[in-house]
Amino acid sequence: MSAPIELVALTKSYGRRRGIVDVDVVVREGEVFGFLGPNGAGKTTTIRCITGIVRPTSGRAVIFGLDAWDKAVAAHRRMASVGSDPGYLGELTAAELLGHLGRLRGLAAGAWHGLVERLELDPSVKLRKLSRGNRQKVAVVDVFMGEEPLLVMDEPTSGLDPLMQREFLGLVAEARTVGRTVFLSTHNLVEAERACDRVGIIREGRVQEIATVATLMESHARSVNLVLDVPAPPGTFDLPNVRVLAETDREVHLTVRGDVNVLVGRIAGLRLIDLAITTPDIEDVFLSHYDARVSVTDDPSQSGARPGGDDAATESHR
Amino acid sequence: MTGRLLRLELRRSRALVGWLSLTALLYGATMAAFFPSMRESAAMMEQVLKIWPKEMLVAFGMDKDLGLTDPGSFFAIYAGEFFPVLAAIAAIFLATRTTTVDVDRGWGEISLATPLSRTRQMAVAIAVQAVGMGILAIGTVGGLVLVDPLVGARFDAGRFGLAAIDTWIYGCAVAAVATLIGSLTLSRGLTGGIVAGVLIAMYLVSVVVALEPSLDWLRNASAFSWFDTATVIDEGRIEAGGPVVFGAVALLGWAASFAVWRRRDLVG
Repeated sequence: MSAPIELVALTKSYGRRRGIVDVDVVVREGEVFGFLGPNGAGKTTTIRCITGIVRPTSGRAVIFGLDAWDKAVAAHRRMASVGSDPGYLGELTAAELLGHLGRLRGLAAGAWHGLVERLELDPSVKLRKLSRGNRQKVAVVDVFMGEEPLLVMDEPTSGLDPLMQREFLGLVAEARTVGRTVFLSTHNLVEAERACDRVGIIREGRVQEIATVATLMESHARSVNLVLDVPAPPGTFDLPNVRVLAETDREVHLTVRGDVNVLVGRIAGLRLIDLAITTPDIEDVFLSHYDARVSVTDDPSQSGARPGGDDAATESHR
Repeated sequence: MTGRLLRLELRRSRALVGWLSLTALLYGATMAAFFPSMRESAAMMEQVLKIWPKEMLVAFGMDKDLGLTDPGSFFAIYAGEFFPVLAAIAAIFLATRTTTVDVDRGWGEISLATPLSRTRQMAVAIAVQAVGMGILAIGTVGGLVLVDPLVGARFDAGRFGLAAIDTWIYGCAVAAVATLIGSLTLSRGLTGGIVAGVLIAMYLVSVVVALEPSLDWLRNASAFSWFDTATVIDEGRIEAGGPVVFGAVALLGWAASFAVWRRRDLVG
């Protein structure tokens, strides 16, 4: 059976301007795939190739075996999609808009009712009067209200408050439970970490890495901070997978990649006051692709700007 | 699917088309109300007009056999000056909505995120233009015909109906050209500028040609040379030339728009 999404050497340029270059991604049936990258990395261009809005310069985007450009209509029968900050018609109410789009998709009248209630959206208000967050709720309802087996979303939670982001993650989880495939782009790393089975990281139009969230984090270094009662004997941390970043008589800051058992064995012989091991999160992994000046991979504790600062962190390394 | 989309697009067009048509209707009614007094004082008015510079008469389309008592000439002066402006406004707004504004604001992308083909999307856009231009043409002629019984202008409603068809075809041609340029540029500003610029240039050509016989070879390059409603009203038959030219421009413009639209990256 054909994969829900198969991008084969997908390249799109806008004249001299770079879009995406040789993007190869296969999204498997029933998985939630996150496409990570900051603004301008190529996420939206990739999604526009998938949804048939732009024509690839070379390569192919294939949806359930259908070319996304040549067979766009057939592909859209199996795919619900929504772009980032969608430009809805302000003169319509949310109910009118969702009804219209639902009918174009062949959905039953009122297919949106349950979701509108769940997301606490007033469908009687004209779209031009809705806040950005509420318009984004309309987008979420739009994409989830059908039964298409593939959902494609471009930064679906931008503008949503934390409660609604959690609701969104619940919808994604439910979609996965019933076997639907989800492809979402985001620069919200916490969202990706919570929602996605696998993620692809795109930088300057090229995919840097694709892996499961767990593998991605395992493959990157953990940060270890030791506070010693007695200085460690020379050579204690001379291990092939360990890198000492800072060391004084009583404090050692190092990173360890892969198996930690040998290091733990060495530490066991020391008199410790404190020990902290930090597992890298997806933000650290993501940033490691973006800025060599900030050695996040080597030193997560130095990356700063973590809690709730996904956008800020991304911005600062752009 | 097409019907639902058509209903939505017609709804989006109703304010623009409605107000423009109402303007045309009221203007036509006002002009028609003047017609009887114009007819009564035609001899005096023609004397007055004779002292005006020829260039000025040409510029306002009043250089031909003035015949102010003749409904055909009257309509040609009224509609010939007024409708092209209204048609251009309507064409620029209607014909560039799907191709430029909706792409720019992202509505086009939302519509195409459903199983809606670009061909169907363009077909609906064109249908709305044709309907809009039709209503506008009816408004342009309707005001005259409606007021006629009140003022006893004795217009021939049938012939004015034919003039409306002539006028509609002209409007469709302008809309088709605007659609094509909009599909190519995806820019309402650029499309509007080009359409308005070309129409103004054509109007100037028609004026210059009337003033300078040696430039008569340029006559056919101007749409205003082909837009002849006087003959329709005077003789009750449509001169084939104008409608054929405008019809061909409309069909070719729309056909080319389909071809461009199907292959176009829809990114504003």
